[in-house]
Amino acid sequence: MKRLLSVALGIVTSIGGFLEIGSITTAAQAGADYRYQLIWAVLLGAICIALLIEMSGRFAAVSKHTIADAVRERFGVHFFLVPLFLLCFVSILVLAAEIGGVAVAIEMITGIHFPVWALPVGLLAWGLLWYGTFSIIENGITLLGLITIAFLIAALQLGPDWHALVAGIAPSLPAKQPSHYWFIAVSILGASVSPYLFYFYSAGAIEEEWDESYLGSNRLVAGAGMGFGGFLNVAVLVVAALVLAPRGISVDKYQQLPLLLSSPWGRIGLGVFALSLFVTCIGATTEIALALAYQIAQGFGWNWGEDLEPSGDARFSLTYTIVLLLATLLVAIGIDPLKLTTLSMALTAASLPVAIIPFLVLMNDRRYLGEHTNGWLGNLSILVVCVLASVVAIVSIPLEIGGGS
Amino acid sequence: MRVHLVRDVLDKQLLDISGQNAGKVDGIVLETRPGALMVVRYIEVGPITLARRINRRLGDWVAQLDARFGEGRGVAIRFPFARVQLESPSLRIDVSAASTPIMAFERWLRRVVVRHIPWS
Amino acid sequence: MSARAAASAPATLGEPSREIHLESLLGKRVHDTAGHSLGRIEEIIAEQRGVDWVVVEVLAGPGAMVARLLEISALLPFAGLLQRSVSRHRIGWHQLDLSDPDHPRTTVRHDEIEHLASGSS
Repeated sequence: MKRLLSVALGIVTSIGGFLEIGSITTAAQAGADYRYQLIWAVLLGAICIALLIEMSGRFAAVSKHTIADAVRERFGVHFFLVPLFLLCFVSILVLAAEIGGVAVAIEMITGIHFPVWALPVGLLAWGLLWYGTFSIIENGITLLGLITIAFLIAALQLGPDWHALVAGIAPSLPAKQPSHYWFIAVSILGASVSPYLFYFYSAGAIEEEWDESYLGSNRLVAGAGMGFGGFLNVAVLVVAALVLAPRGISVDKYQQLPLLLSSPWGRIGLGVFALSLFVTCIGATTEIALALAYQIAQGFGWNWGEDLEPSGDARFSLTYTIVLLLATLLVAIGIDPLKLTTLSMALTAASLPVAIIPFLVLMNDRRYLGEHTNGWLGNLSILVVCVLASVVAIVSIPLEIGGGS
Repeated sequence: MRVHLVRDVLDKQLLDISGQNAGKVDGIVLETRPGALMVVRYIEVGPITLARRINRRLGDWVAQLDARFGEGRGVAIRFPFARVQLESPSLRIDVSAASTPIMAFERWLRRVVVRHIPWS
Repeated sequence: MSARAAASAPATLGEPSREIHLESLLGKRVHDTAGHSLGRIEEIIAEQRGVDWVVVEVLAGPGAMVARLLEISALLPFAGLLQRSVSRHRIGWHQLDLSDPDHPRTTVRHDEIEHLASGSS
């Protein structure tokens, strides 16, 4: 019974944790600019992250290692540090985007410009981590994230063109601005296949002392949680296609985002959107800051654990403090959260091979996984997607920034 | 009994006598004498050894920095290999990490930073 | 990075002992008596004798970078062939001369050294 409850909770929190500034923004841009044509990218992202989450849970349950820990052990210090620096850089940008998301949510309600809120938001996230426990973050905040179901309700209420929607499941070439199309496609992938998610998940599995008996529930949580999360992301895209596209609004200012819900529901919609953004982004902020601290602490063999008192793992606690501080400063100096989000999602896509390929090699190592290693299909599909996403991102980032469209 | 030093020792997690994380094995010191066998003498832990692996100068710089933290600091932290227990997937030392310089930085942070944050 | 070979106080009487950092040996290319390369040091194997662990073998192969690339290629189906094309050598301690740790040599010719099928160790 307890196991069943934890599975249900796991699924619900995965759904609640799926959306954040990155996935909302990229899906909204896709819907606004290309209507249903990029649904395939959202679904592909959801499938990939479901596969990766399943792998990271399986890895933790069978090998009793977290990913960062095993990457250091298996590949040595050089192959640990180089990706670590790169991922830290990208993650801090993503973290800043999330803090920006929370600050923007407050701006929507109060009307006071977002940079003012950066420091209070950073402090709030830090307080949750410093004084809170793992379950407050995992179960409390992400549970509140269920408010994002509002997007599903809005999508159904607005009534999408089901034929066009189904047609969007198959990838197709765009009628206009191909480089922009591919830029958004890889940004969607970068937003859903966030490496911090599986670093976070595997550390959680170790904190909860999973063993091989958890493999079934792990598969269920990863599949159902990420699957439903993907649906919500599709719902955001659909709402954008129905609300923004007909008016010719291309999401290039963050102030346009609340239109997604305020357009059908008025002031209540604005409130629901702001609350959704607030809750999901503060959740993502704590998860990313923790994931970075996990990665560093595990790689260097320190004590780590969200449930320890900060005096029990001072190095770990101060790592997330510094990371949060850096990201908060980026928002406080007034960098546009929407630009930061778009760029950081594309950079995440560009860096996917660095984050994922070492992990895939581990997933095929019998010394860690025994008989539970990956099958060739799982390997190949993840490998192809992350390499392609990276190549397209590297090509399209300069085009997008230089071309200005 | 045989051990693969790179596969099974280097970069592996080190636990202390009470099961606390005590860092990774950052280095292994071999001892050689003309005409004799080469013996695995110590494992090394800590930022000095780690930095030396990346760049010799960086290592020296870290050592100088570390030396400022008090008596006996500024050198790599060593444990005799003969006293390390190989318990896959980790290795265990027969002392408490808290009594070694491994935890010096952690203790310093606790004393200088964490203690001054309210309710910590 | 140069191998550290600083003289240190001998643990016992007799000739002075030297310390070598294992990390500094990794990746060093091993040559045989004729100057033929046997690959880069990838692994060092020790055996317990009494209280001491002594080095008994060194494995030389393509080096860390190539090894990593091979591991990645192994994720693709049918890429096992690539793995098989790599040559590795098992060099016994008595065949090895580490008096200059920056330039490890064998004391015998390469054809006297055990050639390994890839993947075994």
